Amino acid sequence: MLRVRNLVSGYGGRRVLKGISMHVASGEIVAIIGANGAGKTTLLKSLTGLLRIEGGEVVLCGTDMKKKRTEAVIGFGCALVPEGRALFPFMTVKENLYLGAYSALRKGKKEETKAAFESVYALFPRLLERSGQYAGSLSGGEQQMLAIGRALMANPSFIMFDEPSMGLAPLVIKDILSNIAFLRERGKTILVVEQNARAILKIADRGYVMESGSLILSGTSGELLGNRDVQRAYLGKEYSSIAE
Amino acid sequence: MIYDPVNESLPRADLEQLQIERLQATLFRARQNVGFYQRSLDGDKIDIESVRSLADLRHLPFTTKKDLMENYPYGMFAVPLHDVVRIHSTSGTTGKPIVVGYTHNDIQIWTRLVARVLSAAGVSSRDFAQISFHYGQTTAGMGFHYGAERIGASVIPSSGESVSRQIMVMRDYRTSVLISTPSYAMHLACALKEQGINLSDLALRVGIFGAEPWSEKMRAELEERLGIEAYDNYGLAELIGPGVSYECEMRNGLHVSEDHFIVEVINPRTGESVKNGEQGELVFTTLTREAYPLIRYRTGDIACILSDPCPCGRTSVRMSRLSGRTDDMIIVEGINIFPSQIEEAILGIEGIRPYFRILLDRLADGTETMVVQVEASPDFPFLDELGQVEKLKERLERRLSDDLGLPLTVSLVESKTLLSPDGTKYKRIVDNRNK
Repeated sequence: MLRVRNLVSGYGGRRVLKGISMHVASGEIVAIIGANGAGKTTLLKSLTGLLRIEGGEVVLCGTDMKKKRTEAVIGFGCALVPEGRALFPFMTVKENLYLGAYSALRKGKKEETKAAFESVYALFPRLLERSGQYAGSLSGGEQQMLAIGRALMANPSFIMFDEPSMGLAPLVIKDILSNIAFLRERGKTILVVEQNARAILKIADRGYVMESGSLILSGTSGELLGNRDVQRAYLGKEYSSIAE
Repeated sequence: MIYDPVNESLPRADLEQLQIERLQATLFRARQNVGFYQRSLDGDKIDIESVRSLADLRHLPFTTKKDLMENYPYGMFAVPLHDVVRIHSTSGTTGKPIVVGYTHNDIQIWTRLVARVLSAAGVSSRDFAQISFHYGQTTAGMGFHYGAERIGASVIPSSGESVSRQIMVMRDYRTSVLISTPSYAMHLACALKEQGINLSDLALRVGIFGAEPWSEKMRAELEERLGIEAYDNYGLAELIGPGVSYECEMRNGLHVSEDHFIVEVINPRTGESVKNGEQGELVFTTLTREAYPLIRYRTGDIACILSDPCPCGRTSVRMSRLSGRTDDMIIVEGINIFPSQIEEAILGIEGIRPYFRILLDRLADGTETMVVQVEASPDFPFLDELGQVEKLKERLERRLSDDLGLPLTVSLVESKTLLSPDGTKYKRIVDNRNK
């Protein structure tokens, strides 16, 4: 579905991504793990057209996305659930969801939008209960559900998540991740950028480890969980506990 | 059967994508964690971020056996020793051994790669696999053991047993798959004949042979003598062990596990890449090794790359069967000779066993001489008669001189003088020219 080859990008003159090569096959959940500042968010911004790509290739469903604007990327069935949710706090849950269907509504696709509402409410019944409430008054977990729901309103086939577990309690993280796994069961392809390596590798098929703007390791989730560098750097295990 | 249908049959574009991803990660980790690569890449002012395609790999320096020996024992490891769960090493007959480490993941991948080798030869959970490779510091015994267990075969680790016990196991335990060096399989075949054991007493059906070059004639001879289908495979400890490449049912070259290794063929003299189909030295880059990544490792093995599609459905390129080693190649009076050429020439000639040794010497006038010692067969009825011996010797000399293109002398030696009693590898070349 997505094929990235030698992607180079950054901010101003500062090169952050130094030649990233990765791929996501249809129906996969792929995780990108790495510490703060490794370049994970920059990667997602580059893939979604929010940041100009300086070099390399980004091919989505056979189409070169390198010079495509964000609207065009969305048109190709992509959605981004951004870091920190980026909701409109003084708009209701329903209004936030409407914004996710903005592009479809502009094209007059009322029926599709209605169906999208139903499917989002089926996935997150809590959002239906809170549909008239301001987004800013929701709990962290509910806000994340809303951010995911808003992305689903455009009925994307490929969804990118930026740090979905950030700032959430462990039990809520579990819920959110099981929702992501459920989306895959519904035929979605998913790329997740995440610092919480242990949690995300439990649901991902494969993963990449990012360090200083380069992908330094790749493998199945099982292989990454078994890699001791990953255990030390991202799973919080020290030598003594690894040996146990 | 294809053990891992997804990864063994990846469309070429997907395979190349996987290779470039894994190559870039390997280069990064090798540069970061292995002192040797830090020095060699930085010394040559090579920016690994500039490796953007598989073709760019050709601009990187080679890694040689000498480099590995100089970094004895752990200098080439890319992970702390805490993370190493297994250590193998080469025999070290030509210097210090090469010490190779494996992480837990390396062992898992290795096991799956050997499972590919066995499945491709039709081995399954219904088979009894007799492993006659050594289980020691070298990789073949353990590698095949784990791989055979992975596919569910009943593994008989018969390494180290005497020939008579190997044969007892083979007959009584109903061995269906023999895994060994081809020369040891031939040794067992000769012993079976000497003991008067018929093929109908055995359940053998497949032979998986490797760890040394062997010819098509040797294959035909082994298949006839043991009543098997014989399959070749290739691997070396430096890379991982067995599992680097293997024959499928088409037996038209060895499929390289390209999702784990990049293969190149170079001219051993110039280091330049040669075209597909042209013979040269095999060079490998590991793509998934955690503990022991190697970049452009010169194996010393001679073969060529076959890139035409294989009807079996696997999409990997194939390498031809080994025709020799660069360090096995001897130059006599300006002519390049590989021991495999001699094996090819003498196999099937009645009255001899397929074991030989090349003795090279230099006369006082500087002329180089070559004597080929060949083992006489114990069951050849006429060897007591001098005239018959002379005739056989002349026949061998004529055949070898014609095939190799230089005059030589053949000396017939008694049966079982060249091969060690346990039938393992033996020294094929004794070069006294510069002594």
